[in-house]
Amino acid sequence: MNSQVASDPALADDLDAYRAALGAWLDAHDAVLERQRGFHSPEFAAISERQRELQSALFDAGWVLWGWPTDVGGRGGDARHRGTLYDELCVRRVPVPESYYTLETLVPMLAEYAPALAREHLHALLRADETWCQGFSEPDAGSDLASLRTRAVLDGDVWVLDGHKVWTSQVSVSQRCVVLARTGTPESRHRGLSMFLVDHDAPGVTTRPIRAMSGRDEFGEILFDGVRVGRDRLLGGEGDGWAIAMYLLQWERGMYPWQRQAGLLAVLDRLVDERADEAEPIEPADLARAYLSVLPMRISSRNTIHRLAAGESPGPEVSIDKVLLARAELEVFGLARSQFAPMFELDDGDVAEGWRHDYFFSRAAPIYGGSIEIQRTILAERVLGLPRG
Amino acid sequence: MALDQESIELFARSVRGVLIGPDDDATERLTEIGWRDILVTDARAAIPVVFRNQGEHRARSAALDDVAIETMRPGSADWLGEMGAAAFLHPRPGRAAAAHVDGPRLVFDGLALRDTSDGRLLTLAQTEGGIALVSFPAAAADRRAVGGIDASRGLARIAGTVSRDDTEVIDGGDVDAVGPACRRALAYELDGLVSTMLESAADYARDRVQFGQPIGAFQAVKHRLADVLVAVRAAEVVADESWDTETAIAAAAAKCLAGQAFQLAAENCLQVMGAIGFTWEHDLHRFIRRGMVIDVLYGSPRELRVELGRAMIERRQIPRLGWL
Repeated sequence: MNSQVASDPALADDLDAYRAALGAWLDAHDAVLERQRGFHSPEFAAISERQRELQSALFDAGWVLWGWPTDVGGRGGDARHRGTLYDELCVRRVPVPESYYTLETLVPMLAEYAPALAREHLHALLRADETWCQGFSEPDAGSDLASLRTRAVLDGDVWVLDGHKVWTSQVSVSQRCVVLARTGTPESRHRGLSMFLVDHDAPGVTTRPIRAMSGRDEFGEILFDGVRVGRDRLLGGEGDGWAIAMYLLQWERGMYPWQRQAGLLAVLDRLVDERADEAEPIEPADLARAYLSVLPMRISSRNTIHRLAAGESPGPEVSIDKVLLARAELEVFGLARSQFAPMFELDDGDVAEGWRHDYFFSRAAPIYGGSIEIQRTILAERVLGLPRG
Repeated sequence: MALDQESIELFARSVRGVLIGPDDDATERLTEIGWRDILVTDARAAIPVVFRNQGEHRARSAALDDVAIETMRPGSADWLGEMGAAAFLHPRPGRAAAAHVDGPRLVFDGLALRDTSDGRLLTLAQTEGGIALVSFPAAAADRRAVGGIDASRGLARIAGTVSRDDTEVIDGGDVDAVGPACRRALAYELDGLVSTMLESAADYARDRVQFGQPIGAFQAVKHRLADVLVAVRAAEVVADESWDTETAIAAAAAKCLAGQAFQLAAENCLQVMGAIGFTWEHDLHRFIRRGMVIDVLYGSPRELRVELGRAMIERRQIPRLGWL
């Protein structure tokens, strides 16, 4: 019955009906959800493996096919369907599976610039049979991304890649990497960049996990030593790399804060619920302060998703969402830490480890995906019209 | 009924024409350009336009009276006139209502947005049966202009006692909607004040040259102003959302966030403008003074945080506004 509901074509245009049908399915499959709640491991691979259980169930029932265009293998509808899925999971205190974070930036980009590849891989990505990562940052190109030095040179009919990417999320569980590389002169800055899809099992690719301060191997390095990449793996055209990165980034600005706010509200749900019967329950004003840091981020990213779903480009103001995200992460997990002291600091075991992991991961929010210094500079120059420094 | 974009823009132009500044009360001019009619037709369009502009221009009016009454008496453009009333009495900060029943008497002590000595006053009163809309003669009131930190706001404290025989209870209104509606309107007014403060500081940062370049080119200055922008946009999206879902929560959140944005603007805009901003001559302190008065009406950020937090703890669930 449930898969029939999930395949009802009317759900493409009726988001409320989609939410209701999806919610009913999730409630009827709480055993699947329960496997996800409170699961913790310092090994990213173990997290991915556990989350695949949920992802394959969501795929088999058809829910994750909604929100993706039919011409790349989805069921139709738009980004609002996808956002609703993440929201409904978190309302049930289930974290958004990690690979859906990267998928949300990579697949809209593929659908736009390489629809054939999107068609070929969409189902494997949605089912989490595959995870892909983004190879953007380099040891000498972080905030100043346009100075990156990974090179791609055309040799007959193949591109040959040499270089070194770092801080690549989920690299150790990924099978492929979307790589931004220089195809122009070293001085060409953002004009001389192109985007490639590279298989991790290609000769010359080496990945190395990096353990984050959380204790988990969140990210890592990926090295390219004469890696040969077919011309069909050039996304868009030669020199389109920067435009593609910017296209991809607007999805990261829209959907990533939405996914995170859903998770942050779930954390606050746990705080009011689990702490309600304690001798010293949570201070109302502290709870409200944290809630008020998330609420505008929820609404603002919702507005961004609406614009993206309508085919509009959100513009520089979308940096507001990233600054709000960073503040909200710090507020919510700062509150969680204070509420769970001294268990947070002194206990062993998965519950304390889980909170500690999430706390440490939240500290990265002002840094990753364009630091909030970069975001505030963008806002000052491009929204407030202050001079470039 | 929702107005079309053209009508809203036309209305906004008229509003900008009459909310010209701090020196006189714009209530009559707003009435002349049909603010009450627009309010009745499309409150969602009218309120942001009037209150944001009132903040941006540091203007004053009794438009908040109309907002309060419209939520209880929707559909009629001249409530005050129909009830022979001159003004709505708003609660003093920290009070739930501006009046309460005490045996055979009604005791009132509230704030009016302008001093009025004739006609009747309307307010929400604590009665045996809960909060109710009441009207009573203004003549018996003791009235005092509120100077305080911003005498130019023209508030008056109106207090006194009337016999219940002279008090009329007006039935049928949604009295619980008044507080949220006023909070939302004041949130828009604070957002307007912050926008002007921010624009003024950004202008200064573009013009003021030190070390051979405009100070706005320095990242420390940029980031202070970007933080104000983020804070005010955060408040605005929540105010806009309060029309759709969980109005009481969203309106309290919007006023709280607007108050927080105002506090940040007061600090950061002054820092960017330096000594010039610190002078009496510069307008900045007038905006800060106005904002501080609005900040304490219908709940300061601190009070609102406590109220919101208690509501969430009571529910044992975090409200989710802003569904996709």
